[in-house]
Amino acid sequence: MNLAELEIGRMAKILEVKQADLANKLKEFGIFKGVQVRILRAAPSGCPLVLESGGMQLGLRKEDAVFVNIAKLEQV
Amino acid sequence: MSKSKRIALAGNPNGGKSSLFNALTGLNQKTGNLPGVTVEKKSGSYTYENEKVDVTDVPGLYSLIARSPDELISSNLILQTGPEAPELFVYVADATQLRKSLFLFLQMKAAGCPLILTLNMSDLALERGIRIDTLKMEEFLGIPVLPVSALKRKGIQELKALIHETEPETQTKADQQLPEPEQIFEQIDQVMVECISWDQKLAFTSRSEKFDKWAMHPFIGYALFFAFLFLMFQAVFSLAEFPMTWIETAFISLGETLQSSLPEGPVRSLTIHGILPGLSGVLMFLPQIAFLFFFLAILEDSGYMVRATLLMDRVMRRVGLNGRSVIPLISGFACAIPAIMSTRTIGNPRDRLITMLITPLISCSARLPVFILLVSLLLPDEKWLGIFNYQGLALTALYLLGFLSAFGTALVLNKGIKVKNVNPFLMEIPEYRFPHWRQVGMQIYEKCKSFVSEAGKIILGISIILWALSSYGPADLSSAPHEETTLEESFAGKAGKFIEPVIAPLGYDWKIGIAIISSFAAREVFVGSMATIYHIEDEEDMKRIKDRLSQEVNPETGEKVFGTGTLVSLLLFYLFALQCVSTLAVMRKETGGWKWPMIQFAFMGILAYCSALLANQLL
Ligand SMILES: Nc1nc2c(ncn2[C@@H]2O[C@H](COP(=O)(O)OP(=O)(O)OP(=O)(O)O)[C@@H](O)[C@H]2O)c(=O)[nH]1
Ligand SMILES: [Mg+2]
Repeated sequence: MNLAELEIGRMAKILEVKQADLANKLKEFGIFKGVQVRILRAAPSGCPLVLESGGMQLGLRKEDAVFVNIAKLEQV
Repeated sequence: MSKSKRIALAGNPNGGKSSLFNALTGLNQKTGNLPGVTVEKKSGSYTYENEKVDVTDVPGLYSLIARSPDELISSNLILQTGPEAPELFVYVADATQLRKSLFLFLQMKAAGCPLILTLNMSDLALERGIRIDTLKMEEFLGIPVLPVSALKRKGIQELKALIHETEPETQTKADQQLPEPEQIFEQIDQVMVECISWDQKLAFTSRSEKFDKWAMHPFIGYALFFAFLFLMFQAVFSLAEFPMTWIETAFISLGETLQSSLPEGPVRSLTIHGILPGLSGVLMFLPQIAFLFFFLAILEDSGYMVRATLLMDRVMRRVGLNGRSVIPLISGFACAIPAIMSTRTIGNPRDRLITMLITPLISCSARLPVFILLVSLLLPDEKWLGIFNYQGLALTALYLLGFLSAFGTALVLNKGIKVKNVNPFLMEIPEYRFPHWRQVGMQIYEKCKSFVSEAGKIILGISIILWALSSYGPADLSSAPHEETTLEESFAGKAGKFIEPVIAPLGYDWKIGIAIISSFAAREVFVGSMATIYHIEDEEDMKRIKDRLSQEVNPETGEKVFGTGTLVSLLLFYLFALQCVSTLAVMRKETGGWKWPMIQFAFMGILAYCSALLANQLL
């Protein structure tokens, strides 16, 4: 499953980022394998997505989000 | 003064570096609640205990691996070695975003930079119950740590003392490989666990969240965005009308006083017909421009600007750009020059170039005087349905047209310029903040000041030249006795007559021609030039420029010179033509040559001529 498919509000864990440029950039924000993220909301047109991790919010396009593989976490 | 120290700030975008720079040096660098406000190095200094300290403010960056021109400026400074390199870096971390902020800090530490760590926004951290054990943190990092608040000006004296005590180091910058991000974050997470605790009672429920529910709502989101822009133009028109009239009336009575007190001669004529109308042509629009700057400052300081980039990303993608380009485009409402500079934050060279090329199509504040004068001749100052000011509506339409033409051009350029995009779009979204009155006030003041001084310089120069060229003509060069030179026989009049055949199809007479020629270097000169030209024509009569223009009739046909066709045509001409030497200069600097500015100038000129022609022929 990838980040673009994750429903809004649900926590997930990063498994792999398949695109090198994106992976490097996300790493600098502390987003890499094993880190928890969630999609807070989407922009009105459905894209970009607003990604939350470690108290920080990032705008990320869906076309980039598909490169981010994730595993959903159990809902608490 | 014995010695001096060179320090530089460093940190993520939007962490408060420029605010801290202002707090330290007492200067007024631009700040704003969005990443990428500062795009060049700025220096200032202060003196503490007889020691002069030179401070450099830099663009923010997330990592030493720079991805855009602005980040490159900072990373070069950080990695610089040798005697010119800063002797100390004051790292500005956002205390409410420590995990993210400490990344670059630890990279710099690993690279061997001499550092002090300031935890900025400590006022917000306190409010949200984030408790940071700075002593433990100092121990952990082996580097002095100091909580500060650049905005509330807390901890500034302590910071100065700390900088004073720190011995300047000769840098031994490691050439070694930087540690992997995963390793750095492991260290950060350790620091977070050891040194930070949250006060559960104050647990922060985000106001930003509530706002964003509306701002990013599928329908209401767009409605709010356009409502804001609409309100802005309505306000610019309807609220500023009174101060504007006062200023113009004051200038007229000043002119009348000078008329009767100064002895007759060239000096009086120059003052009353050259300089005064030139100056009032700009100053009377200051209230409007201040209103515009006020709204833009609110947009930037509240954090809404970043939401606008998200809202507009979809549209921008259609034309091959991304949401980041929205920031230069919106700041283009104020002035194209800082807007073009702010494209430095765009990592993809192609996107950056396209954004720079289309930015001057956005209506800047220098066009506002021209628009206001022409629109007030075109439409009555009445309200549609009792609410919307007609003139405000027309102004909104003009701005919209500017925006649309920018998009259209981007669409064409997108097809033409083929370079692969490398950087994915990732945009940090700051929390909303209530705009701080001091910041907003300062921004309005600074921008108005530079508008007046920039425009003032040009206008003073041009209006003196224009006055000379319109008051004297070829006949004055010969020693033969002659009648006093009329406008028509002056140098300027001859020039206007000369280009009349070219501009007649657009609906302009030779007098408008003079005004257009004179405003080629700076479009805002237009109003002042018109005033000067008509002043010289009928010496004694001091009227409001608007009234004077509306009475002007064509001597041959007896029709009004400023009819609908001519007015709309002029509006379009000034909307599209690139009459601004400063824009050309900054384009040359940013693109590294004359090629692009020249292409841009030609393209916008053709667009202006053709649309003006079309309007005049159809209306
Ligand atoms: N509450 C609070 N706000 C602050 C503080 N310092 C800065 N700000 C606000 O944070 C925002 C960003 O400040 P800037 O000084 O522009 O940040 P910067 O690091 O220079 O940002 P860039 O130039 O984009 O790299 C502005 O809206 C400031 O008003 C602070 O100590 N407390
Ligand atoms: Mg700054």
